[in-house]
Amino acid sequence: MSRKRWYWLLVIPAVVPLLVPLYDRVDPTVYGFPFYYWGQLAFVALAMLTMTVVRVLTRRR
Amino acid sequence: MPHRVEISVFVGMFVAVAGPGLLAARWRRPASFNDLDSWGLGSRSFGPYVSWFLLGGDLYTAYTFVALPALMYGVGAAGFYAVPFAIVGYPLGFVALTRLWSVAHVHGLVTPADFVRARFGSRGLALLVAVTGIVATMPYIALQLIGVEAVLTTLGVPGKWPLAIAFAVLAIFTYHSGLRAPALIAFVKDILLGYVVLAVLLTVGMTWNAWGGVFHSAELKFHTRGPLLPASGQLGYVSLALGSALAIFLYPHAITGVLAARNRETVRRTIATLPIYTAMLGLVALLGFTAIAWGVKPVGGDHNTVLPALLHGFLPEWLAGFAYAAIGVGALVPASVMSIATANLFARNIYREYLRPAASPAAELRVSKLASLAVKLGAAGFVLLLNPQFSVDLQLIGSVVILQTLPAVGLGLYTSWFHRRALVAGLLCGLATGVALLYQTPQLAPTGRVVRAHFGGSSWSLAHLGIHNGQSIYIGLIALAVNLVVTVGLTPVLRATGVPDGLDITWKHDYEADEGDPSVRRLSELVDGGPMNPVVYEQAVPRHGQPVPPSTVDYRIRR
Repeated sequence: MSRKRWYWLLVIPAVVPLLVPLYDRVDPTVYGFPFYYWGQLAFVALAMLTMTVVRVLTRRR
Repeated sequence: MPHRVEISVFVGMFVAVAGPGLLAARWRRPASFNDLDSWGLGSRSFGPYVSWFLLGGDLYTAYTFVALPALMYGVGAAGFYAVPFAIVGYPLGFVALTRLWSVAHVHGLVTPADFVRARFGSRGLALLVAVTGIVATMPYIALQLIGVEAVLTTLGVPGKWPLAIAFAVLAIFTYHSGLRAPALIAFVKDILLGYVVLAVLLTVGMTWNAWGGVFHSAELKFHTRGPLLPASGQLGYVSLALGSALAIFLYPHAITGVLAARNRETVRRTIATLPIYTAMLGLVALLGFTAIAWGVKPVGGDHNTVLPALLHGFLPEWLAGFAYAAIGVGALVPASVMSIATANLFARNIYREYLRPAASPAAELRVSKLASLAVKLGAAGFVLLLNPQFSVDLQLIGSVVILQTLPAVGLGLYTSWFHRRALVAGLLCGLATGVALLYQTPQLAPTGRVVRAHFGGSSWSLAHLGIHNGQSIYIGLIALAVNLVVTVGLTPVLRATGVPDGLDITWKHDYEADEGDPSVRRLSELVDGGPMNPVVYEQAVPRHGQPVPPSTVDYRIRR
């Protein structure tokens, strides 16, 4: 039962990509990419990482 | 012929893919191939890899890969909304879809409307959800053809007949092999697509500060502070991303892809790793900026040809041919799954529910296969006979429309509190609001001139409320809010006035059931390598007016 609390971690990737003022900026740029673009692409990694962690922590057996 | 190499590679790849599509019916074939589960859900036997490719090909459609660079080319940073949208949807799907998978396997449900039927005990609501799903998905199929058409236009192929041939190929292998065909073809499509994206990105990235220059030229074109969203565009951006994220897994074709998975862990693993496609999609979208920087001109002013024209201008011919093939094959996968999903909705929730309740599984399958042909014929008609803009408009409406099934299908996975009549009323009010607001929205040129008076976009300007700060909000979310208010408001009223509730035949533990649990039936014979016994078709949903023996279905009157 207590394993279920790990699901709350999923709130992070569900909410962070929606906080537009957080990433609607140019700096810091990486390899020519303004933060607006590489930041949002980085949220992909954030989402995959979070879901994988939750998946492993809540696995049965 | 100016595009000889490109056309040969394109045609060659297309033919090479059609073969496996036809042979797919033999792939992991169960002993009996005569019910809807084996045709329309691939016997619910797909493991993590197949599921990943199938859902990836299903959700990230060819049209998306063509339309997003076109959008970035046309409107700039706002077109990037697809990236947060295709991230936010996954954590939500991760929890909700595993529940849907479990309850669908316990009760033998095939479509989202099946679930609504079981959960809220209402044929009418299920019919409404089914019709909504069909209406939302049909134009989406037509859009896939428009993606292929953009490629053909760039190649200078005249006439509509190549498109008709592509569709005939699609129709034949889907009819023959069911969901197995797109699952197998998705492998080919993704290998092609991944290779092409990598090649293009390397080509762009080889030049020093290439991306800096690309973003700079976008800045020059859109006159913004950096190539970014204006502050007035933020609400529209975030509401569009959120609304689309909530809608994506309500689409029948997404649910079909999920239900075909073998067990819960497959669903979870697939969803946890699918965002890789989002990264690829985001990078492809940025090619719209590359097109600006390199001075690519869309063919005949059609923005959808921006990406094909870019590929044609800057890649070696054979590689451009591969890219076109990736788009063409990429259109077949989602179009096939979508036609299967809509056909299942028709066969299960309209034909068997209303037209012929006594239909045998084999008859149901026959109807579904024919319906899949009819759906594709309809979609082809859309593209070939009507103005393509009509399909784009309908798809715009479609995403607003499908979002209105969220209370019944999405929230229904967590609660059965809603009254069935309240859900019907909410859904209808949401649909009406959505269509009315879309009708109210004009399409504006960058200069502010009205290009078209109606159905010009999905962002509703706050100026309608007297707030003149340039902000807008996604119409789907407004309609959803109306929908929820009506549903939540009417439920207690209906209960208080004694309108009877529907029967909920699902139990709490049904939503957690997994492969191997005694309640999950029809799985042992489907797992790879297991004995292939004839699949026994079980009907868990009680038919209208037909008493169901208590030994097979437990009744619970909802309080």
